[in-house]
Amino acid sequence: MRRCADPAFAVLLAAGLWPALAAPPLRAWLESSMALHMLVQLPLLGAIGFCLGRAWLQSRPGSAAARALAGTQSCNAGGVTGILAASFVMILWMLPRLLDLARLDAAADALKFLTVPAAGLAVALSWPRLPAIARAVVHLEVIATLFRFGWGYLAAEERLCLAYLAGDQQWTGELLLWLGAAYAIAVTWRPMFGGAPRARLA
Amino acid sequence: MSAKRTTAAAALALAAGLAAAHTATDGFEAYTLESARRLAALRSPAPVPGLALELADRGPARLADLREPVLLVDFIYTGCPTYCAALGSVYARLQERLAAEIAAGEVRLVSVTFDPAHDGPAELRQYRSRHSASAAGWDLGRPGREPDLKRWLAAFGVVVIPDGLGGYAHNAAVHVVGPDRKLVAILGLDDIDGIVKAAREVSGGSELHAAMR
Repeated sequence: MRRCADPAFAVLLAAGLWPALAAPPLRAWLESSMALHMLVQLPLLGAIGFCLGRAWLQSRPGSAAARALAGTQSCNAGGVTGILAASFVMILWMLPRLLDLARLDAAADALKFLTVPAAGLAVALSWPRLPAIARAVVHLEVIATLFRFGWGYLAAEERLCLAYLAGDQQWTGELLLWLGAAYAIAVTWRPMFGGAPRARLA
Repeated sequence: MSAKRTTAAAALALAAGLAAAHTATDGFEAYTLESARRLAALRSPAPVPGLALELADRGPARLADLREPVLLVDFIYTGCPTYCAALGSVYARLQERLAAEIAAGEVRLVSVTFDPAHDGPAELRQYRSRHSASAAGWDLGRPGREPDLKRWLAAFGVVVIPDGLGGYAHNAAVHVVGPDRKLVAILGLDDIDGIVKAAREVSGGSELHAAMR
């Protein structure tokens, strides 16, 4: 994450990874399977935006970037706007219809390649501003969404995506459930088990 | 960092997000591409282009050459072990249930193969005879060339993908084409009553939307 905040690294990542993901061979391969599409391509696109956002936060005071940042963040007190916008983007692109459209229609895919990194950027800008309770709410919503989509895809009786096979759909659903469980453990581990052992009984 | 600006921006983000979600799901009704195309057929029927076909019984023909007001179109491939067997038996039953309308020249069943390389006229006739003793009112055909096949699939919103076992997976359904050659309804295979009703309503000229609601 520290490397991520290095502006040079972030720009390099965006300049290198984003076109690579958008180029036909890698794009076709990642979109050939529902699991790869939703659980590799989308997170990578989000991560590109996230790293750019983190780097932006480190911009030198007084620079044009810093001024632009201040302007943007003035609408983002408490990180509300950014998280709201990012939530819509991420949930929409996980819907079967939009996964299909991204796979079958180049214009929809282009929209995805723009909006998902933008969502990652919004999260990077907003997360540090979210109060602890809001962060907890976001964590809960992410876990709930992963479980909802996971169960929906796993338990559906028919193929929900026309571009993907039923086996693919079930596997993706299963992976989403595991991801939700892993996420839940990751966010509750430190509060429950970690931290400095201050209150050890002598 | 004013609270007022944030409230305005957040409200805008919420409104924009909801608007995007509303548009992307046809008013929160269609979350899958299949339900979207079925809804689109009911709400805003699109004209089916004049497509060319090589009929198993009669040779080359265009969609416009078929005189019957109502066409029930489905997409098959004869090497299919599962779906298409179901479609075949559905069409056999439709032949029986709509026998009067077929005899009166009001309804015609059309099965189009999306595997023209393997499904020639002989294979198509064989497929029909596997499911039905009669050829009455049931035409089978294959698109002439690759671009024709793509146009057929695009016109009806059919998506075909390889199933990894040498066959294909596709969104099998019965497509109802009306007298004005518009795709007015797409119905599931298990809804034979609905298909029969739709065929009768459309050929009878009454408002299909009222009948379907």
